[in-house]
Amino acid sequence: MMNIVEGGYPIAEHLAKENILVCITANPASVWTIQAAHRLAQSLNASWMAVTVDTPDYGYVLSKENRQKLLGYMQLVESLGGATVRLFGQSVHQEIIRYAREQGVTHILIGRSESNRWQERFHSSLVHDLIQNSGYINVMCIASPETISQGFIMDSDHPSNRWFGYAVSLLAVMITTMLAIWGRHILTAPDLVMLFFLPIMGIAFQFGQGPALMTSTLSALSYNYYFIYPYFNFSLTDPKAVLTINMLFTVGIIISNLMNRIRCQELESRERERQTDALHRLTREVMTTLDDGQIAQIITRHAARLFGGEAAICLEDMDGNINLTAATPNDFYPLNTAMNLIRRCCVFNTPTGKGTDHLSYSELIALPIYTSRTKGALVLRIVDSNLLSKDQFFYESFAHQVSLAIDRAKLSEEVRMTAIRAKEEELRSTLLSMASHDLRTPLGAIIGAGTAIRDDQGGLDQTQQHELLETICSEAERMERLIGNLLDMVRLESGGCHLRKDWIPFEEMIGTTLVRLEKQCQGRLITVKGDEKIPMLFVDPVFFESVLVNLLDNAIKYTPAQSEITWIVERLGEKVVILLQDQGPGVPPGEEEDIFKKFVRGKIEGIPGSGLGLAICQGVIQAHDGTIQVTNRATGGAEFRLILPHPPLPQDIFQSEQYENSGGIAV
Amino acid sequence: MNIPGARILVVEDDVQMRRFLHTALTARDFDVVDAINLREARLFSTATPVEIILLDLGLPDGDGIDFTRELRGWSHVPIIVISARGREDDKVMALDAGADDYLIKPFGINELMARIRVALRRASMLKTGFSQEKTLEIGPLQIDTVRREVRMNDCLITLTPIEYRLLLHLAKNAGRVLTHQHILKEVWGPNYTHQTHTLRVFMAQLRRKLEVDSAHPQLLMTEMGVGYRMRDSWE
Repeated sequence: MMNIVEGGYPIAEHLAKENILVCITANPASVWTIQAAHRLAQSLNASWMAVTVDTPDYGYVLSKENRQKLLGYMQLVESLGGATVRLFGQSVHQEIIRYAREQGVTHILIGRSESNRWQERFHSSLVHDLIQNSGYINVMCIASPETISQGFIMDSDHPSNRWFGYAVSLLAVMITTMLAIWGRHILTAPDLVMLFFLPIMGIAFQFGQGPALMTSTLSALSYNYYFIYPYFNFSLTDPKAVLTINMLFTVGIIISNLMNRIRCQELESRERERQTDALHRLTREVMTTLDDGQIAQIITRHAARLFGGEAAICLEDMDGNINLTAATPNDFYPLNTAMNLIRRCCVFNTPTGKGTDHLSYSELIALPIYTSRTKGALVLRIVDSNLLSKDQFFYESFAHQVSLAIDRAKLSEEVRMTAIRAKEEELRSTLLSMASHDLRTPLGAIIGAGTAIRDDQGGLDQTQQHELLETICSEAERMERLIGNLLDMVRLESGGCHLRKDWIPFEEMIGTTLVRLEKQCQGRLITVKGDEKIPMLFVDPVFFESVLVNLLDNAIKYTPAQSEITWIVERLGEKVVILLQDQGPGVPPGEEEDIFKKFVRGKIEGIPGSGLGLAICQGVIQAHDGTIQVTNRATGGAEFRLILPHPPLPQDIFQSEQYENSGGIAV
Repeated sequence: MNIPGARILVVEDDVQMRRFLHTALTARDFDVVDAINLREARLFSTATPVEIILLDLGLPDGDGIDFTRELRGWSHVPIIVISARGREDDKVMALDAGADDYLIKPFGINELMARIRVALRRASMLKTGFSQEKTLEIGPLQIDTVRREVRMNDCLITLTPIEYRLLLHLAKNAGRVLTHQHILKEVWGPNYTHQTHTLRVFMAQLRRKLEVDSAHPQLLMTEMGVGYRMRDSWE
């Protein structure tokens, strides 16, 4: 028995929305049904799949023609965005409903034609059976305009209840007996015995052990009664006849046993296919994500559905505490009640709880999750405890699969952390090399000047001493700026900066910038132009101030003294543009992007700086979802262009205007 | 001004920093008392009459902000926080806890002296009481609190009621950094403390009326991310 599942989609979607299953056959009317399912799926925004069921009636084998047709329909389904599934089983309706329940299907669509109405009088139809057994699943019949001649999906569900089997076996023996009586003059005694084996085999295959045993008994009795001397009498006189009867009986039992075993194997392998399919689906869905929390959530969802109960994953953290990582349903919280169970499962790395050798009185079962990186347990509450003894192996392979998935998630997390650490390491080494050079230079001047004064033996006059002190102070200030920039950079790089945006007048930002650069601005003409009365920016004041300070500082450093620097603010729809124009040498062609990189500095000699200023500007502007560019102006000098989003102003922001008009006091 | 001889309590655990403060302040005629931790700070602040406290935040036996809150329970003695914690949140927290001013290390002695002067002047004004003063004069700014007149360089300035209240509040606390929350609560009321953007617009309008160049203010200074301060030294 096989179970082929083609076309995949995440199962999460099944649970969240409508899920349609359409039954198809090699019958041309299936096209109609498929189209109907497609339309329904579109209108419900649902996922859908087409299912065919192979039954043993035809020995699971389709005629070549029918197989071609079916393949064509399946391709049609896939081209319309549906999945296709082929199921194998004894009973079409049972197989469909079992699969539909498992997949969380909400609607089953099935084609229905005029021609099989008459059949219903004799058999219960597939549609009828589906409706009878569907439970919460909606079953829809799609009428087809064409006549269905011979459906591939046949109602092979012979009433499998015992009495029917026994009745059929009685009938079969009667017919065999009549045939034998009719043919007794042609056939020899061994042929007659062989004739009686036929119903035994047939009944054993179709109805199992009980009816088969009855058939062999009846056959033996009938053979004895009609064909062994004395006729029409159950008494046995001939020892040969005793042997024949015994043989008939024994062979009957052996056949029925063999047949029964085949049936059991078939059921078992079908169950195994179902489980393999479940594991396959789990693996496939888990593969699509890397986040360990999400993976745990997916696993519990699958487990809860598969085992028809509740599921939770508990993992040990670094300190050996066990925490709930995920649970389905969300309120399943086994940590309070089953801590012992989970601990024991983690420590001994064996299944623990209900149906196992340890703590079997518990109503939960804990399966160990054991990876090189973590330990934990998959905790299940299973309603149907029969599942347990039967599926021990499956449970373990499921838990193993879970362990692998979690291990993979942990591994990818580690890889990510390593990458972050590598980046941090790189930053740290750049910072270190910078600290060793750029911080030592001013420190050298400070220590030099300081010791010169301390160890002076009267050689320094007042002016010289003052000069040295001046050096100490200015170099210390330079270091302070450098450290400030380094800290800003580290804050930006570590991703730990939370912007606290607020509306702030551009003038105010410029005001504090000018105060911070008071010394450098001496003798400079710095103008501010804007088209609005009070241009407002929506920025984090502190971070944005560092942008303006760095840009202005840059402009002052690289342009001739006395030259003019201009700020311009303009609104452009939902953007605000800030320009900084200078009259310096501009940016060397080809370096327009490089200058925003860390530790890249202008080529002009003798200008102090760390190469961090513009990198900080870019970092902050990008964090504000804005852009920063530099171009050379036609009239000479560089132009930095900042573009920032400008959301709508809060309504109450200019409430002051009303005051001014109405209640202003003349002073 | 009662700087000479004023008793100043320096709470600082770093030896070099303490030495610098002690030497520099003693040379400027202060009576300097050193405390190296909170225990000593509590002891000295209760045992001797102190006129001003310089307080480091990260002390070996506790946080200076807790000490500030504690002290504000019974004393108005001016507190100037001197700390290497430079984040705006730290500043706001210290100021809201009751500190009068906040200096980030490193700072120059001139900067420190200016802040001490402001704090002492405010303390003496608190003692005599504001209400008696009919006019406030801060550099070129004059406010006549009785006639509600504002003059800048002897020119009358027209203000709205809120602008006037805002200016008056800043003037009464000239030299001090007032946090956004504090100003909003005092001028607009306790329900408006989150409307910093409103405050900023009002400040921008005040600057347009009072400052020569509103983009380069001389009187109404911004402490970015913290609040505002009216400049009070006009040497």
